[in-house]
Amino acid sequence: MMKRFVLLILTALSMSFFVSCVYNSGVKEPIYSDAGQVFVYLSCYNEPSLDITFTISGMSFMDKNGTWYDVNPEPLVINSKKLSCSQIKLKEFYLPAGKYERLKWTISEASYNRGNKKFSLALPETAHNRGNGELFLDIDFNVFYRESLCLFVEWDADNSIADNYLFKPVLTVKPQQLEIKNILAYISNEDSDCVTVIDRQEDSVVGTIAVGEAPRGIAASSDGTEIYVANSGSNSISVIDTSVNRVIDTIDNFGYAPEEFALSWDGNTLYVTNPDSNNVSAIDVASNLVIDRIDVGKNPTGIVADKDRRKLYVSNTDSLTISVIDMDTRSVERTLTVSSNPRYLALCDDRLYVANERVNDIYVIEIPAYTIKTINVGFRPQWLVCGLTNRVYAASATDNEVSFLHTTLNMVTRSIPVGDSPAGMGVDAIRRKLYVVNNLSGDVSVIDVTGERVKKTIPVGERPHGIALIAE
Amino acid sequence: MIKWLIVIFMLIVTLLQSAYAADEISGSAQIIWRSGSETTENKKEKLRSLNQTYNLGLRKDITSKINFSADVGVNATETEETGTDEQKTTRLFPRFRLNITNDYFDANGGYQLNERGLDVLGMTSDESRLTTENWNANFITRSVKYPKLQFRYDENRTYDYELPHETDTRSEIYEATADYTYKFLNFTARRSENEIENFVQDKESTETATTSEGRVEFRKSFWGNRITSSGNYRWTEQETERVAIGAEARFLDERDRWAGLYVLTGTGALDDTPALIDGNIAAGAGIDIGSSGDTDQNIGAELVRTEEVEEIWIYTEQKYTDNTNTPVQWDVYLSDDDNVTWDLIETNATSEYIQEEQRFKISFTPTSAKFFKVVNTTKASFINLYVTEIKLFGTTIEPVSTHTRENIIFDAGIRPVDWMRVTYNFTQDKSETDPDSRTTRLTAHNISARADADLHKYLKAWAQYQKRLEYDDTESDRRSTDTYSLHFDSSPLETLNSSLSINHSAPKKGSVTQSRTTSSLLHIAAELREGVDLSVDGNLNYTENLVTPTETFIRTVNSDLRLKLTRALTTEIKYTTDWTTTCDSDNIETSARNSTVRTDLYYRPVRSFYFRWSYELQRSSGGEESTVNQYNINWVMTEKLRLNMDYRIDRNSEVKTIYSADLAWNLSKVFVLRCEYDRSRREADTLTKTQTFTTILSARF
Repeated sequence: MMKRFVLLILTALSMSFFVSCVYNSGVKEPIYSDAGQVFVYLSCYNEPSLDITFTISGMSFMDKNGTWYDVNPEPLVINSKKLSCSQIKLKEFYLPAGKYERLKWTISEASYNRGNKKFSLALPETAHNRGNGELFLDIDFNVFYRESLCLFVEWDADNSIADNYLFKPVLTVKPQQLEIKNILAYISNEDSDCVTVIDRQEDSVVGTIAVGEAPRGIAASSDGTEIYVANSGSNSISVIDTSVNRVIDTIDNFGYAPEEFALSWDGNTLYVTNPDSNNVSAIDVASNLVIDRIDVGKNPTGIVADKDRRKLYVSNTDSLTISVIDMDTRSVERTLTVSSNPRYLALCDDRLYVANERVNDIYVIEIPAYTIKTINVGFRPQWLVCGLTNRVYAASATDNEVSFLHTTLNMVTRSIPVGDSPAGMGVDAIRRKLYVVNNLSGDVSVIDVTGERVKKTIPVGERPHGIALIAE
Repeated sequence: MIKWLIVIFMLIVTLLQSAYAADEISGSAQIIWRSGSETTENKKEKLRSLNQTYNLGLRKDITSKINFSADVGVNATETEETGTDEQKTTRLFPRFRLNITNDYFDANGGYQLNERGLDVLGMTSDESRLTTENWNANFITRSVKYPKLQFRYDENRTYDYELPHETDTRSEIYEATADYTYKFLNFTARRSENEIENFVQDKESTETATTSEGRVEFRKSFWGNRITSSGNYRWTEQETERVAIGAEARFLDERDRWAGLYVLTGTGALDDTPALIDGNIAAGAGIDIGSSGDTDQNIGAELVRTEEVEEIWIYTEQKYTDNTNTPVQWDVYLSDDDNVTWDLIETNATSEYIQEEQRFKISFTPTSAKFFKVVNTTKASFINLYVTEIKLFGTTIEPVSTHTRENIIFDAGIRPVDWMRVTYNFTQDKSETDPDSRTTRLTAHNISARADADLHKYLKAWAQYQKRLEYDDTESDRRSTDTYSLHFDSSPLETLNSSLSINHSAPKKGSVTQSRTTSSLLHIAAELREGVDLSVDGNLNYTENLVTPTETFIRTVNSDLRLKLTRALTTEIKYTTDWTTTCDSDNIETSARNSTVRTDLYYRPVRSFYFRWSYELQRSSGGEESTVNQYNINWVMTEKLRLNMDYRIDRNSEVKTIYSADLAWNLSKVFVLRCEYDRSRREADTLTKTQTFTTILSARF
């Protein structure tokens, strides 16, 4: 019965393919769009002393042929004091591939605040937009098909008022230039199909890299030369070379949607969970070829490597089990049964912490005895990461908080509100920072681990999921 | 039939010329040359290997919704080791895939071949030929309004070219899933069929597993999220049918072990040895059957129930490569009731050593009992060969078995006022197997109440009570735990954070309290001045075990001072110390103190270069000291050249030194050259030195 059902579906598929081909035959159409992705970020050149506010109501780009392309962001109110030294994302959009030479902003109002008084500023006049000002900038960048880039606009707020009444913002536009010398973090953006690159010293976006569809899991190789991105929408794995910061290879995952990664003890094999096909792929890092597939439980999600014992721990969310895989034989050597849905894992010293996505518990499994203890943490944990000073950091998407769990006391000592639906986390031990990716608010919260507070929020792409830091 | 449908699909795609499409051709090549040596005492072993991998791929966008990809890879490896002949292995792996994506569904189908033992790249393989083929197809709908449907098909076929075949298997998986969300309810149904066939002569068998699964989930909150509720019910049934057709066909089932048993010599009772059944096949249980060990060692296990056993597997820590010349011989015994009176059932039982899995397989006539042991009548030729684990297996007789599992989770929370919260959680996990009618059920209730208070402008507090009840059908008494927590938080300055947490818990079995534990944690974190961060944790933990009875008192201090000396130079000093005092049932007090000091220095004068040094000293209560000294340099010399060097010295009962250097050179956009050098030296009872040079030339386009 089952076989006939599947056969029927595949037959229907073949027929729909035939039909679409017949319909299209003989017609030469632009089959795919030749667009590239662009992000525009705005920041202040220096800490501004003037308090200026203006509204951007339109944005357009002109290519080398003189054609204008409107990207039409939602009206954005920009204030110099609020912008300060941070960075905001103005817009994320697509432009046809080609060279671009001019940028136009349409400004609907501008004002200058001094004390409690607000003074309106005159806008640059134009013939076509009465009442709105238009600002033109010369730019020089190229958009390539299926690639992504950032444009960084720097605003010198203190020199933006001419003759004491005219708003004439001084802006500089630079396209991204990813230097390999920077200390970087990479964030996968599921809905933007790209990876955002952040400079960890300045905590600002320095670029984006286009990858496959719906990127989720992301991991760095042990030597920091490559970043692996799991494209769950295109069933592939993108390999980014960090020395040039571009995709150098795409590994076909044989039809399975990849989710999360773990590296073997010697750094030679990359393991990736495939939730839809209930197995784990083993990929040889040198050749980027899938060399094995290990069957585990249903809907394997989280995976973590125990390099000292040469084991992998995989949480099978739908079969309520955890598979223990021997890395040398690449086989499941035991299966631990739990009583609710295990999801993400963290291995800290000799303890495996398992987040349960449906109850307020964390399982603590002692290795190698495999005894399981349950800790009630008072919130629904999703993501876990080993922290500093005997802490495990747990993110709760339902409460929008990150909690610090003390590993000896098994008690939460601090909860810090972050953005909407926190997901992946990464720890920079040298700079004592915790990066928390907020899936629904599209940003990254930077937490000072010593002061236990959010220091900065960095806007990234849409629905960011995971983060990988280059280790030092 | 399905796989031919996929082939037809792909052939039509490649023949279609109607639409314009972008082609992407990619390729990669990698050549790894490795040369190394290991010197122990006066013995030197050399290893050389040459590994070549080449891959060529094509990706063609037929339309904006359909793409086709194909690639073929080949790998050849030559390995030469001292004392062994040169080994050559080869692999050939072509692969094809068709993907269709549109607003309504995602679908893909593909084929992959893995050939081992073919003659490729002018090399004749030393391995016997083995072919593995994979076919798969997936279909997932994308509609949000309607139920989401997913279909999956996977086929795997592996066979050799021996006559008769030694390996000839086929497996097929069909899976269908439907998922639908209606308001706050989510429904999922899944059915899968998994069939594994063995075609080897006299071992012909078929195993079919049919799994049905259903799940209902809900999540709902009321009154502006002041009342939250969620839950899910999951039911799974798996029916497995096994049919053995060949004369030698059988299915092995591992028997459940109750206890591991061992005694050095003797004919009487064996002692409880948990390490033999802890699941850790890598770590030794302290039983040496090597030449420096003994013969007549008794290694056994007690089963959960009397069952038929026909194979015993003994795992070893080392890989015993000399069993062919110097086999370890085993006698097999059983005891029906008591682990005291043992009956010999087989002398010098049939035994072989499986090198890939590092275990002995001891076979004998199927016999039923509750206790089994094996006794080694000879020793291995290795100086040491440590036993790590014992497992027992018997043949499954029943052709059909069913495993049903039900899982219920319910969660509710109420927050009547901002400062108060009460939560309740219920979980039940029930499992049944047939035909042996084994049932297990675990139920847990968890209730907690928490109150928060702002005591002062700079002082917050919360108090929580939590009760957990657990019922296990295999135990007569329920278990419960009461936990009381009190927490104070103060941040009077932006640069100063402190908290005090106090916790008390008392687990019970039935009405009898098993133990009481009280712990407290004082945490202070301060930015003393710009660039100077100090963090201190003081922890007291007192446990009274009423069963044994013993008292344990642990005091721990963790401090962490971080200094940013300049923009480029940071140093961190960590100090951890703990004192443990234990008073046993005879009122004898023992104390132990352990401490660890660690210093880290991180120097990054420019972004392209950093130097890191760390030194760690550990002292244990017995006076043992161990140190770890590490250096690391990472330098991006130019945009094309990168160097990484590591040096590490571990000193404890032995001295171990490791040095590695790695130079990577981007010769061009296509070529990368990498040179690695690794050296290690280990001084214990003997001196062992290893050295490896590796050169990797890779190309990608």
